[in-house]
Amino acid sequence: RCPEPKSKHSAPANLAARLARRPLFAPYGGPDGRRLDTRLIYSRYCPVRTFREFADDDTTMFTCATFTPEDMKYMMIGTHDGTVKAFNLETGEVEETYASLHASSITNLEVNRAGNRMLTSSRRRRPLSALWSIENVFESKMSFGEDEYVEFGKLSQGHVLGTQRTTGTHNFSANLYDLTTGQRVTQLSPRDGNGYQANRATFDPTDELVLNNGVLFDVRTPREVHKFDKFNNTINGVFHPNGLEIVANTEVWDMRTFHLLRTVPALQQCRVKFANGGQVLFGVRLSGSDRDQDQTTFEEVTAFKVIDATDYTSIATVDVKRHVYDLCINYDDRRLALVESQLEMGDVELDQSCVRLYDIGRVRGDEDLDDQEDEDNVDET
Amino acid sequence: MSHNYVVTAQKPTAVNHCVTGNFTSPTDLNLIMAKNNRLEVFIVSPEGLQPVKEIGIYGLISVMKLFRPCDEEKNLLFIVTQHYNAMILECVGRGESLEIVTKVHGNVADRIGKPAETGIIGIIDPESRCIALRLYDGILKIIPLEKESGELKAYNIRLEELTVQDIEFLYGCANPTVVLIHQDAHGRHVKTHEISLKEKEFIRSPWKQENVEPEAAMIDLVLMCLCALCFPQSPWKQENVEPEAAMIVPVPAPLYGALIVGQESITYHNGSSYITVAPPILKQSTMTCYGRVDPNGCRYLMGDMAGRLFMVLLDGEEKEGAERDIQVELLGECSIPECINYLDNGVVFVGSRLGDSQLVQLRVQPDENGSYLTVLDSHTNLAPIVDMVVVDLERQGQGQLVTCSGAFKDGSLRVIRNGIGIHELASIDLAGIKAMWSLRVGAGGDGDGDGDELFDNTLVIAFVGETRVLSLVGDEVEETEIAGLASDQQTFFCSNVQHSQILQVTASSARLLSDSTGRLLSEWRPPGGRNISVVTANTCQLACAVGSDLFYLEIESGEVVQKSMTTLEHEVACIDLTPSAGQQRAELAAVALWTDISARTLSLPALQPLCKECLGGEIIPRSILLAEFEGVPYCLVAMGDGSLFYFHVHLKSGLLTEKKKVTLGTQPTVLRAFRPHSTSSVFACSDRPAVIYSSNYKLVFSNVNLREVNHMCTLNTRAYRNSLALATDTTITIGVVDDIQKLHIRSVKLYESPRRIAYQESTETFGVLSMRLDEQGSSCLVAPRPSASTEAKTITQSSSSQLHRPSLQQLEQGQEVEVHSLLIIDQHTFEVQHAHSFVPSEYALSLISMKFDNDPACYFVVGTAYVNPEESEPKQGRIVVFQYNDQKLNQVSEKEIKGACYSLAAFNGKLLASINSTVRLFEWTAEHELRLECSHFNNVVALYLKTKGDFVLVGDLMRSITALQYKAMEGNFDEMARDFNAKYMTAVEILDDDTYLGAENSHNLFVCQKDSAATTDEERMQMQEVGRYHVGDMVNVFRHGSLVMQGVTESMAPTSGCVLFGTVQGSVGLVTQLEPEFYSFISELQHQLTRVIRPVGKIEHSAWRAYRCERKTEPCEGFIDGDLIESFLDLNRDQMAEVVRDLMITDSSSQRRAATVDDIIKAVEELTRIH
Repeated sequence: RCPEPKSKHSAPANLAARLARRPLFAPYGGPDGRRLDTRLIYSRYCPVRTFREFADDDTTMFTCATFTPEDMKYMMIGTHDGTVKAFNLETGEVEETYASLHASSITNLEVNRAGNRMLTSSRRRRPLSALWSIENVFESKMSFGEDEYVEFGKLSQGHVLGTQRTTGTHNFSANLYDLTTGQRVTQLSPRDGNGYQANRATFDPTDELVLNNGVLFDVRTPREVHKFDKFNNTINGVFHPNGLEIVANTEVWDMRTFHLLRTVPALQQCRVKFANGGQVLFGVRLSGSDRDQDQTTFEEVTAFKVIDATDYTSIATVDVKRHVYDLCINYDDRRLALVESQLEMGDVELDQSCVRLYDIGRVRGDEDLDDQEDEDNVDET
Repeated sequence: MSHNYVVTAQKPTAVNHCVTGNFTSPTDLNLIMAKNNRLEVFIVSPEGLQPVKEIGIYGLISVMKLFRPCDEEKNLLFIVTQHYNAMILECVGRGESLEIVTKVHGNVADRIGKPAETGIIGIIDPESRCIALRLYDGILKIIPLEKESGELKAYNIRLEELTVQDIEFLYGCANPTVVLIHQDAHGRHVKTHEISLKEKEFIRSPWKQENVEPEAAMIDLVLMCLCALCFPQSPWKQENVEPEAAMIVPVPAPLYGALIVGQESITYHNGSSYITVAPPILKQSTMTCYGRVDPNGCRYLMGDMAGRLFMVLLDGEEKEGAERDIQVELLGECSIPECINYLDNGVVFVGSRLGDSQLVQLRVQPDENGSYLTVLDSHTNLAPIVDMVVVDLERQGQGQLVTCSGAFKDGSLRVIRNGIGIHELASIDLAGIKAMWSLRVGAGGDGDGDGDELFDNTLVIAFVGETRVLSLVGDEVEETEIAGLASDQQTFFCSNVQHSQILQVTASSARLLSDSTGRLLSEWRPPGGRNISVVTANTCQLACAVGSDLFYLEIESGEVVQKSMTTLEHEVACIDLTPSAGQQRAELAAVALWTDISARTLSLPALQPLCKECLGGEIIPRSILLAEFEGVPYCLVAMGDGSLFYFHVHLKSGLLTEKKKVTLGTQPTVLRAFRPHSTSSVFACSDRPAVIYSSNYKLVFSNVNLREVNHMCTLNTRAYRNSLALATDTTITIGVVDDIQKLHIRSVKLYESPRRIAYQESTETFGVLSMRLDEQGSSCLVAPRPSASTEAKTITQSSSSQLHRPSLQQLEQGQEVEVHSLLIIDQHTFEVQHAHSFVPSEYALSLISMKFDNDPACYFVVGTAYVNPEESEPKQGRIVVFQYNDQKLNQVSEKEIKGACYSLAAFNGKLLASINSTVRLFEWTAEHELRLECSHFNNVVALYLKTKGDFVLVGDLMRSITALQYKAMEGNFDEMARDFNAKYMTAVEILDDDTYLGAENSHNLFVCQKDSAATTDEERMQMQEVGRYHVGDMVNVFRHGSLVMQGVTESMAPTSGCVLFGTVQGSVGLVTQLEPEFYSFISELQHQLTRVIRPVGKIEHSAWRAYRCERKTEPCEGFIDGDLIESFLDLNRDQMAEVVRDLMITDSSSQRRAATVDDIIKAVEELTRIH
């Protein structure tokens, strides 16, 4: 592929040259400097710690994970039996276990930015989702009986958006709850949804719009604004934090014109998570029941994708050699955690998965190079 | 907790934006410069740029535009800061009462949106109907300029074009219409949008088509014609303009349309037709800025990155059958421009960020070098300060800063020292001088032949009991005599006076001599044969005191006539009769008395007492002076203990107000007025000589680089023009004064980019890493201009054959290549002794001067990287050890490394280097080779290293700072503590063993502390962020050191430690630590100041100094804003009282009491003296 046309005044692609220009053309060494820094940093992942449960019966399987906000040093990890465990990020020890919050495997976890509330979701047995207080005392604050996925508002976090499936179908209603009153405020049901199997209703960055099953709603009126064309069977999509685009499976839609801006084949069947700074996005292939059942040729993929959120070019595909169930990024985009399978391909028993923590930007295993250093010198001369 | 005080020692000097217009009044032509967070307003006058006002804004100025609302006679100033605070400012009043009023203000940030990669752009409709801001991708924010609108209302319009390179308003449109260059996957395009202020939307034009063909539909043509009759502009677009098109220049009536400036071409487009020129001279560099010359838009000045200035002419006449033509002419070379403003009469201001800003005269005929430019004046610019060292070259106990400043052809070293420099021209050994005066005597003194200028030719020098005369002819000095001069007595006063006479006053009499013959004309003796004790005079008046009797006399032709006499309560200690500016005669006399220690003003000629101000204490006043600074009359009284009182004087009533006190030295001080560089100044002679001048209506006391001066007089001879004669105990020094400014800056031009500097005391040299841009010629690289590395006395090169380096990619002819060099520069002459060039593609990144523990020699150590532009990070580099000896630089050793060596430090007699993500320690073997001892990993990219004892502080590209401890026994590094936050570091420094200072790329400073007392390892590992501050500029370098003489004045403010920092915008600041108690006191003062001071633009001080990065904003903590504290001294007395009202102070007897204004003035003035 031809290199992209580059302006003469763009920051140099080589970091040493870019840093030499940084004092002259602050703060990034020239146009595109910031993107080049981002691309360098987000192309590298160095595993630093593994969170495992050494239970007696060997049967704990981790299903999802999330970091807690700044100043809280925990990693919240959900298990297949409906339990959430708080691991200490530094020691790797379990500090709290909240057993049996749900009767089935936890499918999603979210902690709000204030760090005092947590949302959990599961797929079977009601209530499917719940809101918990994790401040001082752990207690249930609210249950969302029918919502198989819930998320906090992006801007205010005073609202929760739930995704409710009409049983046995791929039709979904989005339920908007006010946390102060505990009441459902609105229900947004598309007249004719796109029938995505793994639909998750989601807020836009201003909390004014909701995308549910391929239909864009204005929350304030509330009305349907636009229905996007259906290009896949599974994924509804998420809003880009820049407030201008929607990333739905491989399609990127312009939110203002509703034109298809581009297609990103790398994101095929991927759940997308944006870094908190909005500069990159991570894609992880759907797993298990979420996966598109029709696509029989679909392969297990053991890598996650890192995509530049400005131009959707690929920064890296990081192969961890294990099946990835979930991915999360910490509050300042310095660390990333993966819920990784422990199974070899083709194993059938219950997976004793682990959560592995990665430092973003660090080169993997640079210690090894050091040992070779002196030998190399001999070799080269 | 951390108690830091941060203050600016040198304000930013880079000019980021510049506008011209009628801001201060409808008739003044103003030039307004934006320097980072400061605005400087000038009046353009035939004499040059006259400074009018300097304003600090609580934010970095991202947009600055002048506009004239309809029905207004003068311009208003529109500003948007980096953090999206917008404001419209108006200038009211004149002179001292001139004030900048914030008409409207507000924050225009959106909560959601991706800040545009090409930065904030703000434009104003030429008919002042609205302002448009491009802050975020895909959104155009409109601020309607309605009349009488007290608030700033803005709304967003969606902009379909995501990546906008440049945007401007077009002239002559029915509705405000923007023209923009945007980029998409196919290239760059130009497009216009018409804004409907009513609909708050773009108007969708019926005739806006994808491709306007010449055979456009008839109806469209008719519409276009109709519209063109009323308004010459209608929407248009041009797809696929030049791929590097980056600048739009809107063209006013009568031509209309716009110029689109690209890398290789300039296009003029007026909506219906266009013409493009691509002259070959454009190709070498890209135009970065322009300035319109004519109001009718025919001529434009454009500047490029190479510092070339062009004139672009747009043919006004559209000739029948012939195309309109664009001519591009190269005028010559100036500083690399950031903004260009045509002022008047062929004078252009070139604002620069990478070099000195210049005032340039356009010539009609080229000079001998073919340049059409003459530089009239240049404004010193330190920016960007890439690196710096603190050294004491003159061994006076006072640090000087040597900075790597500027870039490319404007690169230089700057030597910065506190105080004013006197350049010694000559000296005469003479001991026991009491006083001296310069005179014009005889025919040689009347300035024959050289116009009207009068030259001095004689020095009259008073000794105890005698007076001697020196004649100065050329640079010859010889002792002479003046017939009528009483040489057997000590002269008290001597001067040329009116009617071609010379006045000499001794203890016994006042004598008038003829200045041509030197003959005595008359003599006046005080009645009763008593002795004159003090005396002063100007050219027509004389006042002398005999004990407590005061006589006033006038000088007439051939005699002095006593006009009045009065008796004061006490003996007169000193007296002054300086006339107010522009006057011959004084209307006020100022005296200071013994016994009651008072300063008084008396009317002339009646000698009626007008005002009396007691100074307090028991120290006798030694010198009093009336002086006018920036049009404000002052009375200065110097005391016997080196302190100085100063007052405002009301010239009519003689009232003395706003008393302030400052300590200059420790010995009796004598004040003498002088006018260097046509600004009035006062020289204070004492053991700490100082120059007193006014800046921004505030008196500044600046030290002089001389040890002790007893007396001083001005001297203007043919050989020593505008000089000073300065008498010490043993010598008279004749010298000239540098430009009056608090920090004295000397430039050493390198004509290439300096990158790193290190000082080596043993060889009395500086090592400097620098970079020049060579061009690939037909066979080899060619340096396009002489610069430091090509003009050095000796030049060596790293040979490319001996290195295992990655093969270079093929270079096209004309392609620019960076060539890095190590320069060895003499510390006295600043001549480049030696230049060692590295091979192209080898970047020299780091430099130190050091000694190894088992080797007495001193080395320069350079860390390099081989830069392959295709790779994201260097994979190879070198550490090279050089020795400078006997005028020769030798390579002693080299070590191949696997990456870029970003930083070096001497550490325990070994060499510490940060190489890509690692920190490595090298030993120096007996064979003079570097051998790896141990390494530390766990960084993204380790960019900065600082060491103290066994401690190492590492600054990372993105992962903040880490503290390491070296374990000599184990031979490894122990990670002690780390700041677990994402911070993109730009500089780090160790304050003490547990406290670390960092600067990051969102313009913040922070202080982290290692908590050694923490109970768990986990807590110990985690640094606590104890200080946060938004410094508002990117810090490139920290250095321990101070710019002021240490330990001279006894009661310095209670500060400890001093770290200087240099920034991208050319400012020098310092961070020091205060004692907790003093900190809380100053902190309270800061709080009170924020209550009283109303900032221009009405941005809260707390918001400005809050730690702000992309992800979060946190309140400022652990830092005090010294700039705000020092602004206390600029307040008037009432405001000061308002600030002080609720403040408590602990006095010397440990009593808490309410603070007085004078307490605070004293405390703040002491703080100002730390820089």
